[in-house]
Order: sequence, then structure tokens, then C-alpha cells
Amino acid sequence: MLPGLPTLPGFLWPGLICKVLSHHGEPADPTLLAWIKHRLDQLLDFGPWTVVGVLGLVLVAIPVGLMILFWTQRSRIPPALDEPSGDAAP
Amino acid sequence: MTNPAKAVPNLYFGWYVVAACTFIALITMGARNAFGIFVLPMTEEFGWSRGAISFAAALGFLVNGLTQPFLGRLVDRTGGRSTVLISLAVVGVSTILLSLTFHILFLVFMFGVVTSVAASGSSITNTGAILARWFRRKRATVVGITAGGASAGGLILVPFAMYLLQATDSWRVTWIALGGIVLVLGIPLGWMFIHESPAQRGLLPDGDGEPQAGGQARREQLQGPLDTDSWTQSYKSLPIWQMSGSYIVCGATTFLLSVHFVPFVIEKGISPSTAATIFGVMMGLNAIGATGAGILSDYFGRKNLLALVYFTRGCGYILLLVVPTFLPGATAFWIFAVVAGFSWIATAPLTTSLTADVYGTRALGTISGVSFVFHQVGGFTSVMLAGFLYDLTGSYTIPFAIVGSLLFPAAISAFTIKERRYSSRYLTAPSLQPQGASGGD
Repeated sequence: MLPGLPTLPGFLWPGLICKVLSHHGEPADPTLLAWIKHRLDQLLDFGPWTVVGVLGLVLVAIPVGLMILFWTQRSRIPPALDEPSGDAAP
Repeated sequence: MTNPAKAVPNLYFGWYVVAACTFIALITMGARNAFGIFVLPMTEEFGWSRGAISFAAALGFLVNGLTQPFLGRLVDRTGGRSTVLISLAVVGVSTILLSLTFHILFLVFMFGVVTSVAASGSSITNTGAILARWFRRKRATVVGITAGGASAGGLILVPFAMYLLQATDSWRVTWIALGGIVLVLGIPLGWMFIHESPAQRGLLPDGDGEPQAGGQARREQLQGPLDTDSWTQSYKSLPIWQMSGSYIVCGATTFLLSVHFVPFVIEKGISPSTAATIFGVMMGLNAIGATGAGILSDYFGRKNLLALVYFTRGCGYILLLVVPTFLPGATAFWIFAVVAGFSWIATAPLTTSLTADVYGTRALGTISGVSFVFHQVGGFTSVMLAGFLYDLTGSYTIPFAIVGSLLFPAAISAFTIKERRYSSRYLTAPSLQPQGASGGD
């Protein structure tokens, strides 16, 4: 649970709404994320750029790999079969 | 001799649609869930309170839930491709624009409203509605895979953003990177692979061949007795109320854990570091649970599994409340993490696919969107109730007991859905009569 309520102008945020929303702040809980990062640091023991590079590579590899698979399959199909009928689309 | 070209196994195009939807779920949910890492640097730079910046995040989740039916309606009307692609573009651009944040109201508007409305358009609720057209027999499997992708987003994008922030020491650069990922990787993939229905590519659902008289493909095209193109019509029948009622409890129990689980565990004497690790494991098991539940329900039916998920989660809550009283240490919480982790979002693919089976796909985006609103309402109510009761009693035990006990009525509600009577999966041709309608429910 996050401490405190928003300090925004009261006329903008009715009190009840503020209270509800301030109890729903898990995506903005930096303490939890700090603990998770601390544990990740213990487990990984890599520099930040290494982690960024590896995860970035994973992120890029997924769509690129998918497109390569699609084009590879497509290029293997003779033109006569490469028509939108049955299940021969890719 | 076999023609080598013909011997190459062809992958049904629907699987590319699944992969694209899963990746989109991964990056959009991941980018949203990374919000927490920006709290400290932004509050330090601008001098905002923690509550103010949390408000932007929480408002975003509220707006995201409330706009879901409207974006779902758009998907039903337009087919979904344009809605998803435009939404992705808006999510990407608005995320990049967050790097220009100069005032709390800019953040509230950009993240809490613009990004959140757009995220509704590319949500798993909407991509689930598209996928339901591409698959019938493996409908829950593919929706489950997509839901698993949304969970995996938190596991990949959040650490990516964390370490990028550490490496660059700039929250502005990190926002730009997250938005750039959505624009550069998500949109081309969506543009290439997200198509509204198999008919657009001259295909049949599941990659079936041309329908034969009395064959499986013919059977799969049958509509259930409650098939509708109007969401209001669907809410005049019992099954959607049973599903939505259970979904309220789903939202209540998962939101409660999201917000109050770690403080609850710490209250029981567990160290913050261990509590965070337990929470992380619970989140990590989400993806497996969602995908596994989808696969299983395609083989064993939806409603029994849905009931089992609620029942299991209910048992997990009992475990959480009772076991720590006689078993010291973190063992009970670890067991709970496994149970709750597997069942956390397993309800999403089951509910979406059961809704598609019963009401068809013509209004699925809207119906699922409305159902999602019930889920969010349950979540907000439980979080508020828990906060109120904690302030009143000084403990999380009572709110956890109240909300957890609702899981058993939810299980009964799911179990009593007459799936064999209403689901198109159980219809047989040519009589159009339900198969075994009198038994099994």
C-alpha cells in the first residue's frame, strides 16, 4: 500500500476517488521493484549494459525470427500453390 | 517421388497471428508495467509526492478497464486490424512523449488517459476476439498463449527498463526506448500478421481444409443457441452473468494480491527481500498457468477447469491464512505463490474462449470488454475494502478472509454454467441439437 494521497488540487480529485486509486498503486510501487532489482543483481551479477543488450536481443529476435520463418516458408511454396486457398497461405 | 516443395510442412497462418498478438501483448503490457521504475527518478526531479505519481498509474488502470468495451465494440465493427495497429501507434508515440514530461498533469493525461485508452485497443481482450475467429478447436490454447505473453512482458520489459535506466541514468531515454520498441518492433509485426479473419486469406479456422458434408469442418461452423451480434442480448442470458460474476471475484482476488500481498507477508514476519522474491515467482508462474489452462480446456472443456481454477485459488487463500499460524517461516507463502501464480490469469483464456463458444465472435470484443469492466470493478472494490479494513483493524487478515471466501461461490457459479447446452463446441450436425445436453452440466 502506498503512503499518502495525491497532493493534487482537491477540486480536481474527489476524495473518495483519490482514496480508491491510491490503494491501487502496485504498478507504481518502486520499493517492490527495488527489492526485485536487488535480487536480480544478486542472481545475474552482470553490468547493466550487458543485461540491456541480452534482453534487447531477445526482444528483436522474436519479430525478426518470425518474419524470417514466414518468408522462408513462403519462398518454398511454388507460385502455383501460393494462392489464397485451403491452408496454403504462408 | 514426392514433390519436395509439397513435402514442406506448411504452418497455418493463424499461428503467425498468434505470435504477433503474443508479442504485442508482451511489449505493451511490459511497457505499462515498467511505470514503477520511473517513480523515484521523476519524483526526485520534479519534487512530486509518491501519491501524485501513483495516481497517474492507478488512473491509467481505471481508464484502461472502463474503455475496454468501447474499443471492443470498435474491433467488432471494423474487424480489429486497424484498431490494433492504430492503438499500437498511439501507445508508442505517447510513451515516447512521456519523455517530455514537465508537469504532473502532463503525466496524468499522457499515461493515465492517452496511453491507457490506446492500450485498451491492443489489449489481449481485443486480440483474443480476433484470435477466436482464427481458431475454434484450439481457441483457449491460443488465447492462453497471448495471455502468457502479457505476463512475460513484465518479466522481460521491466528488467530491460530497470537496467537501461541504471545504465543511462536518464528516465527520458528509457521512456523513448520503451516507446521505440512498440513502434519499431510491434507495428511492423502487427501490420504483417494481424488479419481480421481466416476468410480474408481464403482459409478456414484452425487451418482446416475445405468443408466436407457432415465432416468436422462443417460441425465447427455451427452457431450455438445464444450466438449473438449484440452485447446487450448476451446479458439477457444466464451464462454471461455466471462468467461475469466469477470474473468480479477474479479481479477482487488478484488485485488484492497485487497491492496487499507483499505488505501482508511482511506483516507475518517475512523479510521484504523474501517477500519480493515470492511475489516475483508468483508473477513468473502466470505465463505457464495461463497457457497451460488454455491447452487443457481445449481438451477437457472450459467451465469445469474454470471452476477448478477458482476453487484452487480459494484453497490457496485458506492456506495463506491458516498455515502460517502453525508453520513458521516462509513455506506457506511459497506454496501459496505456486498455487496463486498458476491460477492468477488462467481465468482469462478460459473466460474469453467460453464466451466465444457460447455467444460467437460477432460481438465478442464488446462482450469481453464489458466482462472485463466487471473484473476491474471487483478489483477496485476489494483493494479499497482491504485498505479501509486495514486502517480499521491494523491487519490484512480480515480482508483476505472476506475476499478469499468469495472464490468458492465463484467456483460454483462457473461450475453450473451449462456449457454443453450453449457452447458451439458441443453442437452436432446436421440436427443442430446439443450433444448430451441433459448430462455433464
